[in-house]
Amino acid sequence: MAKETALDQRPTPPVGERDATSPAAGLLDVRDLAVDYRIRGGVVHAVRAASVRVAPGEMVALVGESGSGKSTTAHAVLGLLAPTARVVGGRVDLAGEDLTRLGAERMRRLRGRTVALIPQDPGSSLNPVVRVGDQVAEALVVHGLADRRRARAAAPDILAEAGIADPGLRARQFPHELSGGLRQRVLIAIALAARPRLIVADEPTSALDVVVARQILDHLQTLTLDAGIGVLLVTHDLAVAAQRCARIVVMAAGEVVEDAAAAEVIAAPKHPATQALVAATASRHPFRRPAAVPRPRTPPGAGAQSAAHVRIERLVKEYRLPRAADGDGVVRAVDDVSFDIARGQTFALVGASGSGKSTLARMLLRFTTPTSGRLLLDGRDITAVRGGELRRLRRRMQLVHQSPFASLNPRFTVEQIIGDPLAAFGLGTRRERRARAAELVDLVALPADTLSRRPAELSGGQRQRVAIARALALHPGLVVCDEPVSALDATVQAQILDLLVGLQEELGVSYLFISHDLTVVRRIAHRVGVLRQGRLVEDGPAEQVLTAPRHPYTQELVAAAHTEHRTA
Amino acid sequence: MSRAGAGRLVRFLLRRPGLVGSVLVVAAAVLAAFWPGLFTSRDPLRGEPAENFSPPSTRHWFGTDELGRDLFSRVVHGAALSLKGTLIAVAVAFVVGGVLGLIAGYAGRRVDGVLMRAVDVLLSIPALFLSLAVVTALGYGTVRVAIAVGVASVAGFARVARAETLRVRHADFVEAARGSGGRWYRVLVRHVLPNAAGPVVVLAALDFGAAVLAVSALSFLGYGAAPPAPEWGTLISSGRDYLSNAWWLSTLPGLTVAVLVLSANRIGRAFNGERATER
Amino acid sequence: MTGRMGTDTGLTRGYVLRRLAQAVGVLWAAQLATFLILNLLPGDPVSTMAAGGLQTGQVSPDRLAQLRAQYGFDRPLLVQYGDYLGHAVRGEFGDSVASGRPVSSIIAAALPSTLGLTATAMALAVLVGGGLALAATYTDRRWLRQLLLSLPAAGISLPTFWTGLMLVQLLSFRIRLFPAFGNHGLRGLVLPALTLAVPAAALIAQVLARSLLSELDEPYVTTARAKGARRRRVHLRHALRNAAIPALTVVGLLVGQTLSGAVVVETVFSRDGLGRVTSAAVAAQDIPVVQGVVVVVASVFVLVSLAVDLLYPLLDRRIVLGAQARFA
Repeated sequence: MAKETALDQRPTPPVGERDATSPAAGLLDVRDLAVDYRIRGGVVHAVRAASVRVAPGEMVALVGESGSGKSTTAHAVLGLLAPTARVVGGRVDLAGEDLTRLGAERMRRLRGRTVALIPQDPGSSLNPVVRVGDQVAEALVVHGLADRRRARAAAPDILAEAGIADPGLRARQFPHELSGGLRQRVLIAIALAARPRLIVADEPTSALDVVVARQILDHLQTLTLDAGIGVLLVTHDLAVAAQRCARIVVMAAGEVVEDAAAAEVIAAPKHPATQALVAATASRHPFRRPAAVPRPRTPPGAGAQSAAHVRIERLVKEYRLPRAADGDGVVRAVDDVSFDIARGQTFALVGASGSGKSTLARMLLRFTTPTSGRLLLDGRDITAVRGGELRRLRRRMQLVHQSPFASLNPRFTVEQIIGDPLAAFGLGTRRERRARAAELVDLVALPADTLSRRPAELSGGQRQRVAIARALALHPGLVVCDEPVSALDATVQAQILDLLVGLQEELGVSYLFISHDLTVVRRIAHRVGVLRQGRLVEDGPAEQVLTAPRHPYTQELVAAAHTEHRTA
Repeated sequence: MSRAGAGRLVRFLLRRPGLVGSVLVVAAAVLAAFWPGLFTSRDPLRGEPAENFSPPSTRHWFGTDELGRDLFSRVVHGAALSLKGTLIAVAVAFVVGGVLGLIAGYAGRRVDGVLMRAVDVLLSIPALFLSLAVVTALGYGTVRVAIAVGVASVAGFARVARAETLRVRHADFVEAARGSGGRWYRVLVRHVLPNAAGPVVVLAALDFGAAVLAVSALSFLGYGAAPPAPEWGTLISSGRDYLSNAWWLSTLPGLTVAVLVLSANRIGRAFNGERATER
Repeated sequence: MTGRMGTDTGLTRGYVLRRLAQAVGVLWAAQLATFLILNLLPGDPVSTMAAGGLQTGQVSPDRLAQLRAQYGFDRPLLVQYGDYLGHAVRGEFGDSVASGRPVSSIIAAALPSTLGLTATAMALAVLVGGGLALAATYTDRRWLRQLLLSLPAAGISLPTFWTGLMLVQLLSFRIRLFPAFGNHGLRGLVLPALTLAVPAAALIAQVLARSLLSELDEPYVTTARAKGARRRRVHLRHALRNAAIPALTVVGLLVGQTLSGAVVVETVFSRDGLGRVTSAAVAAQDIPVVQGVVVVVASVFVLVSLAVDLLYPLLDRRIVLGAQARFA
């Protein structure tokens, strides 16, 4: 049935209107699209001139930073613009019809049937109170392709097609019972259910870890391209785009600034925005450019061990589960972990979410108490330090949180935030603290007028600089950075990492750097430890762990990061 | 900053004529509570029997009652009693509930458990019945009724204060403050309290209208000030006997209460949502 | 993360039992709290009772002592409480000071009428409030939406007793559609139920509309629309099912508020019921009756809350599991 309708509806390209050099007759042809958002007291031109073409069986990447207008463009293709949005120019031709002129009901009939969406966030894109199978079946029911009973019976097959094992069971489950990867596959199943001709995939894997993301993209590629379905892959990640798509369309500030073959975009980016994206990707790239900053590596040997700034010995943290239904009711979040951090160097702790890396950091900082094991700072046991002694210990180690949006008191000015540690210890007069805050703001390369601002007035990158300045206020010897760049855009990530490296060289601080992202780690680490389910499965010099990993899990991580960036 | 802030405030208000009206209504009620003479020169307690049951007119805006007393004057003078009751009720709930919630949220799991079970218990008794139990024990009168109403909303305040304290307490910036060596009370006062107080203050604003209603319901039932005193609930209640021949006696005081509560709620909502999104 | 997942309901026997035990505990504590409020607060219950309930003027010390002994107030508080609890478990709350009749039979006679009124009012409130919220969030017309969304704010601000009097004035005295006072079958139920339903409906409408609007912004709504689902389907089958959960909580809480409102409304309409029993008992400082009423009302409220809690996991399967997976 699907084939029939595909034949019926196949458009004949209007002669003369099409660019002769265009690849194949278009399935989707967005031309000079302009979209405005009405906001209180004005209009935002979210998209000003966007032109994108997708042919059947082609996967085209639409790349840009957040706010570049790529998502708005994608939503226009689905006719799902927000109520405040208005198409003010251009057209969106899909299978021969101009979507900008379609009525709501006509557009609805196209959605799911002709153009389908794979949304960004598998966590919230499925209705939590409806069984998975019914959500898949709905895609058939709403288009009258099957009645409710037949659609429900067909759901497992559609799920199986999307690569889900045991589809009969999955169909009866609720979304929260599935893993993120499985949910994303369910969303793919929903998108494919009514055999659409174009799929808009809006950052389909950005919420998943690299290994799962790769499998899902592989699968999506086979399913769509073989069946002649066109795919518009919307992503902020140039590396993913380059690897998956022959053609890349780059958007910046509401305009398409570049539209060329993937290799061309990567090798010779023309527009500054593209160059910035390429640079950011390259700097995150672990295998192209070795160390961007020269730094001494600790030779593994006896000398290094005695100079350990921090020593972690057989550290264990157990959590008791309340009324646990299974097992003995105890979870080992951190399981017998030992390593050293050498003075003035960076030890990076890598692992997936839930691997115990944050728990470990919080134990080192003594926010939580270990179940067993020892923590030594400068050779002194700090495992059981309490009260005033613990407070004095805080001067020697500081934390930079993951989210600069949550870690700064929203009511304080930057000057108060940076001066807070000094005030807490009663260090210096008010004037001296003010001077120190100014000095620190300068150190993290923020303009002096930042001092009087509040966090809400700063960008994410600026806020993280403030958090770093606060961490340095007390001249600590050790700074724990808990995913300090994962909440930031790629270009900003690179800047913050550079700042951290520069500060280490200037001040000689040691870092415990926690991350799930190998490419980030590569830029900053001297030594790398890999944490999996609470256990340290591998640790060693960064170069060795990242290029010649010994443990299978590390190999898998490295391989995943490698393919992710292979074409970049 | 202040000029820009003032400009923003003016623009904020201009877009919301209903809010401006609400502020004016509440301001008028407060003025009436303190200086009833601004609104009326008539004695609320002395009537002219010859003029009893006069319908609203330019001479008696709200008409007169069975003893010929001017109803408008009684409503204006009633503001003092009724608003005093309301303020006491909200203050009791705010202070007791706020402190309980702050302690529960900050003191640790065991104290939290005990306090929150107590709050659950208070919440399991519908508010008016809890107030009535307190009234039975304490006796009649505006202040006692106000305390009874306040006791019934302690639990709600404690919950919000606790939830906010917990939320803020676990915020990264509070951990950062602890990590910067702040002593617990410094962290509590400088970081937790200012960021947790907002929703509790908002709740107080939102609770104001409900407290007006609860206080006047209890005085309607006859537990408030003794008869000649013109409390709003009592006014409505005594008009009940003359519904068929003097509609204004219940209607107009009730309308006054309704308009005041509507205005208070409108202001509470403005505190709650709109300023927050403007920020 | 297996085993339990495939089962058809999120309810497990353990969960139900735990919630039942919790409800009993809360009830016991509520009863204790009432006992403490009534017996520990300043004021000697016997002298207040004697002054309020029996006769005015001076009561002789002998008579007071006699009353104390009669009601057992001369014993230590703990003994009194033990005795009281022992009887309360069997549904006995002692005798009324004012009338001398057993409290349990006074309450038993008054309860059905009040529960009937409350139930009718709640049903009305769910229908009207739910309908208002759906209409307000469904309509495309901005002005209509604004109008519908502004109604609840007004509904919440009206004093119940005043709404009742206004309805009586209009529909009983002017139009003579419904009886003004007393218990007169179904026709007599209309005005009181309507009066009680106004604030409840307003609150339901407010909460449901707010949660509908926020659910409509959720990504899963986009997924449903991208499938090609019609607006009505997205609204009713996707958004409403999720938005119903907070609304259900409010319905549970409103039962308490509506029972409270019944006290006032029964007074307004001179209906016999628990409300009038209560207000008479408070006026007479008839402590056994007040105590009994509060415990019974709290029981009704706690039972309703329990029912609501047991409904959640049927509506949203994450709820029971969520409680267990919290620390995993």
